[in-house]
Amino acid sequence: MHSKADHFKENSRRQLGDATLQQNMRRFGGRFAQARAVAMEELPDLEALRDQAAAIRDRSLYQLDEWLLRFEAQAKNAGITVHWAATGAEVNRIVLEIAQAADVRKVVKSKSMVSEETGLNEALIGAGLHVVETDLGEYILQLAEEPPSHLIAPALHKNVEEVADLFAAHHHTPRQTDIPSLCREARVQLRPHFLDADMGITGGNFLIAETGSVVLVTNEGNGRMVTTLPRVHVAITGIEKVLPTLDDLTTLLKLLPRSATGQSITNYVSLLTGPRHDDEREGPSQSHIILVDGGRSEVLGTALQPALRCIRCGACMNHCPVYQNIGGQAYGWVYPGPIGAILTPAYLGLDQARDLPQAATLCGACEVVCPVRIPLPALMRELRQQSVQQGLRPWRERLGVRLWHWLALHPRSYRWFSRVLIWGLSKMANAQGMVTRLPGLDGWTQGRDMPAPQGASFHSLYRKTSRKTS
Amino acid sequence: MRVGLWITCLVDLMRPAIGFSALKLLEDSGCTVVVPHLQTCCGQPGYNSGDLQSGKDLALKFLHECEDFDAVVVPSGSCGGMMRKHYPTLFQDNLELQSRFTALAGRVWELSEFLLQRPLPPLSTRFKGRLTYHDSCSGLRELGIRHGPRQLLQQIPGVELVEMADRDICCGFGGAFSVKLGDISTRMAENKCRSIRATGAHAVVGGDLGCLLTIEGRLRREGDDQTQVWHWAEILAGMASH
Amino acid sequence: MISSRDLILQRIRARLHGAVIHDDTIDPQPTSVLPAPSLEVLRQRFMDKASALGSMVHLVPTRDAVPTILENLLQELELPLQAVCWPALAPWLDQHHTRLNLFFRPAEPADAVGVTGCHCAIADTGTLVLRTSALTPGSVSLLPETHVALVSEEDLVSDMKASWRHLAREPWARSVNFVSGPSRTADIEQTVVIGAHGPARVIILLYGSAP
Repeated sequence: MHSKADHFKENSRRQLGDATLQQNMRRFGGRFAQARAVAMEELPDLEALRDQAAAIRDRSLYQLDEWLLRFEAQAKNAGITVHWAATGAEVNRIVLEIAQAADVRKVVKSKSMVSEETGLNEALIGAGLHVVETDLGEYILQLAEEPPSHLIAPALHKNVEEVADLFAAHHHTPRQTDIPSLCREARVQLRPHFLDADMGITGGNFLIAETGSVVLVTNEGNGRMVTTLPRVHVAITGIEKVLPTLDDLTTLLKLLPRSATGQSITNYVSLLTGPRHDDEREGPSQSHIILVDGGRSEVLGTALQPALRCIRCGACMNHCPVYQNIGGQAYGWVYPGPIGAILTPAYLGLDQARDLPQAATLCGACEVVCPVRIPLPALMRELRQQSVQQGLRPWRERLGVRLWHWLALHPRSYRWFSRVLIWGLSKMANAQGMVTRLPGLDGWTQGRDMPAPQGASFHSLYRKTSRKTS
Repeated sequence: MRVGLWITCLVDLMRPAIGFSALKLLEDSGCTVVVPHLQTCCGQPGYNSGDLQSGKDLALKFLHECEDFDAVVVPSGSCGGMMRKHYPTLFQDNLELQSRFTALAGRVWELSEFLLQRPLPPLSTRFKGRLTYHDSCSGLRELGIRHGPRQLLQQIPGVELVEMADRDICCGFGGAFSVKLGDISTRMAENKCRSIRATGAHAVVGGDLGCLLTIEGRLRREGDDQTQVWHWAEILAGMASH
Repeated sequence: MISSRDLILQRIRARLHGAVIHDDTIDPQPTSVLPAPSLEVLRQRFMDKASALGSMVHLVPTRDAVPTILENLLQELELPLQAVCWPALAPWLDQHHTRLNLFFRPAEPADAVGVTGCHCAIADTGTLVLRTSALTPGSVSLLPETHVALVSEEDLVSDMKASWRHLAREPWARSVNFVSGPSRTADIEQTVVIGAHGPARVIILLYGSAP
């Protein structure tokens, strides 16, 4: 996917000015967050469970090579063809080669964020294949020609009227505006595609090293369709998704759906381990898995490694006040919200997403809900430090920080500076005691006043009261 | 007990009344209060902007100025979080410093935490009106401050405390964020002000001046010159004139 | 030229070389070993959870009563008395004389009702565990609008962890599906709609161990 992540400011301004989007984001509001809170009440040992989940993910990551090799061996035993792709372009090439060798014409896809990273759809369509997204949200976005705006509810930025317009225009059917009818319409439209597709493409929520299985966690049933009906199944997933054991999966599955939508379990959890057996009359006759690096290995062993624990539940964005106001597309690439503000610069390079680590108040709402305890604010701070070290911040900001640093270390100059600042701000204040315009700080004053200082600094007043000071 | 009072850079510059309120409350509760006269800033603005060195330098300055106190009290959850949660992580390559910061972190208290550990002197304060309390992020999530300020406010005769919707959602301040990404910051402040007004409260109270400036600035820009904005310590100390 | 496989493994090893191995004071496997709950407890929990997720659960006193109950149920729901079934169920369901017209094969697009058994059922989440095989094709629980699962009380287990032990008794299937209620989506305005691509109705006949 072409990245617009380095235009975060413009993107977010546009999103803030889009009245429909704003209405849709307000409707989304805290719904997932509330559902999560209710679901977590069922887990009396939630905090211990989060510790275990983080430890499980760390164990996978610290011995990633071993678990990947174990997975590969088990998957091969089960008849799966295992491919490794260092880059997104390589993923697309491998999928095309599989498609051509198997004479594939139609592809049905269940949700795969990694395929969004690689721009797989464009590559396949460019090669003349018919590609149909089958997750309802992804299907809506394919019709709208838009990227997803959320990890698990990719079309949450669209309202029912917009979906109705899209369906009427593309299906050539009478426009309907009630949600169950629209869902029904999608089911009716997509069913023939499932039945006559040659290839099914899925992501993979987890890979299980001890069995060589790909795990899909879904609600709609499209994941099962695309792995049951077409002749060829290709699962595409990041190398970090491997888990050592089924028991590890058990623990993470207690947290993933609850963190995501507040469900105790999703409707379907599928463990896929190879192609159809000789005596079976259904199931793909070819089963492939593509293990994708795409910048992940570069994150290992660095301060950002905890971000690779991510199990893509979306809780961080569901609780992020920045995300909730600007929507996912402002982040400009595949992964939105707090985790996107870390993964995008980590995978694409910090110079490709300069403002993303700044796109947070560090309020910490994401960190307290992350099921695998990714210290998201600390990682954003880490990226901010790297931005400074790499000289990626604007000179005015650098100068400001440096000046403040120096002043704060020199109390006499600092007191003098405070006096000047207080004098200046008081001069600029209106009769109501508000400064309405601050040159150089219009980011503040374009939408807010700045209350003027009370008159003198605490320290100067305190000295005047001639109290004892240390 | 010898208590060091850390005023914070924002209170020093913008609203000294909060500092004097804290001073009064501490003295009323029987502490010997010392205001280190060389104090400036805890270093959080630089630290959060990616300037690790300024965080470290100012942490050392703080250590130098405050290590001898029995307790260090700060009327801000945000600065308190910096001192208690972040300082001890800054010197992982220096065990001696790390242990000194860890020890000092154990003696750093946000004002409400500190006051509630001691018998509270009888309050002479009255405040007639309805208040709503905004949970500031760092205080809430780094220090776990939630009930303390509410509990203190409820001891004041005449105070009616009402809860706003989304009380623990960020007001949009975020330090330099409020300037760098002013559009988003403003929208968050706007949402917060909507929640505040929906309560019908006479005043919104909080424990961090950064949030209070954001909220007050937005309320006034929206033309609301009725809703007052106070640090809870100002109300408790009887310095909120209304 | 180095293969991508070797390149990726090389990078991983280079990156992890000398990395601090994580704090292993936390046991990643929860070890709380609770005594197995009684059948009554399991049954009640399974019924509660499955119902909460939108499955309809009917208790059937004996295994022998299942075919007749199935017939009555389809009639009540105004469904055709015709269903596609797991071939594995043929020896059982075929010997009973009902008006049901049953086909024992993988599902086809026109099938309205699919009847399956279940390898085990998880009480904690109200979940059916289904393994695919020639005799238990996955499409039967997927393509028809109505999925009827015949579940023996003897196959109730408490949680997912216990289900792995149950599954380990047989060779690993191509696909193991944990099914918890009818398919659903909330992709339009976060409004939950039952019946996405999979079945819109899941009926569970939970039968007792008496013959």
